[in-house]
Amino acid sequence: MLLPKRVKHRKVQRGRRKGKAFRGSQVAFGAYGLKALEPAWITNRQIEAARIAINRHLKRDGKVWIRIFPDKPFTKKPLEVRMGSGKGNPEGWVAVVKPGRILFEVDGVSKEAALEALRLASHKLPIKTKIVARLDLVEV
Amino acid sequence: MSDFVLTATLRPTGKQAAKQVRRRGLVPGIFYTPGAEPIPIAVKPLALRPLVYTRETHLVQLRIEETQATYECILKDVAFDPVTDAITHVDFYGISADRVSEFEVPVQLVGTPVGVHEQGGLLEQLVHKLTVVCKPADLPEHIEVDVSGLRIGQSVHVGDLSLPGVTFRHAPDVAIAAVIAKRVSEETPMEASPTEPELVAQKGKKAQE
Repeated sequence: MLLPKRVKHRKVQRGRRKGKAFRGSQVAFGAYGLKALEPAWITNRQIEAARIAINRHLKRDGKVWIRIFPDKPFTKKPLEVRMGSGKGNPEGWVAVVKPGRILFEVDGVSKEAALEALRLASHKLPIKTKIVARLDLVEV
Repeated sequence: MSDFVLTATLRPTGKQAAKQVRRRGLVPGIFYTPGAEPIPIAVKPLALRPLVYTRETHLVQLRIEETQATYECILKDVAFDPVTDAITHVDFYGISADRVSEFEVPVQLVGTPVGVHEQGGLLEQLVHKLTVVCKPADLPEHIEVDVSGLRIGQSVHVGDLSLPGVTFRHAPDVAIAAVIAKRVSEETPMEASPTEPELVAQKGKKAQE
């Protein structure tokens, strides 16, 4: 599963997810991509599940790009523990996703296969998404 | 080189004015060229679509309705809304026949590589657009790259291309397309990684020790 090799701090503040993703919002490497339409924290488990869904559908064909990286640790307090006494323990890693962000890209397969693979991947994610094409592949 | 005729109207400058233009269903844009004042314009989004979603380079004859002036230009930049993918702004860059300018030209791969149909490899296009410097008369609609001779592990580089009157803005060793071997296993598991990342030692702590 994806997680950073080295970090500066074990725990970080939660932050906010205002606005749209102005960077990483266009298909840049592949032919088709999956675009987030809502803000979310996407865990490395969800990214892995979506990646496996794409690869399982494409079999050995094609190439897949993961355009997000879970570099933010999230913490959780143990069950039945009163509030206070400091921040909880690190539990996992998330990628902060804003609306418009391209999550996955696919290339080297037919349009039908790419769209179906991305559709299957979208069911592994906690947000609404849409499938987008590279600019020169958009039908006018 | 195909010429594309586009009609535009003048618009006032500023953020609010641009928003009003968008509310009227038009796309705000700007026309600029060296040594002249930029002209803020508004264009119809439907007229822009064949120019934006294309695999060719187009020279645009931009006609301003109010002044009846026509400018020869190229589509320099397009801004999209990140969520809806609607065109929010366009830049047109004025060109002249005797001046050398920088253009982005789409790359089209031609042929099926030997490495794909005989060796079962995968053709990967690494670059979809190349930046070239040339006069408008020498500007190609697209750059055709023949990949039919590629075997697994081979690639085509910018240095392999030659077009009369055209200089590439890339290093000669930049790869355009390559044939790679397909993945061996059906599902490649990601490399096993440690569950906890290493903590970067902090400067202050080091100094204390």
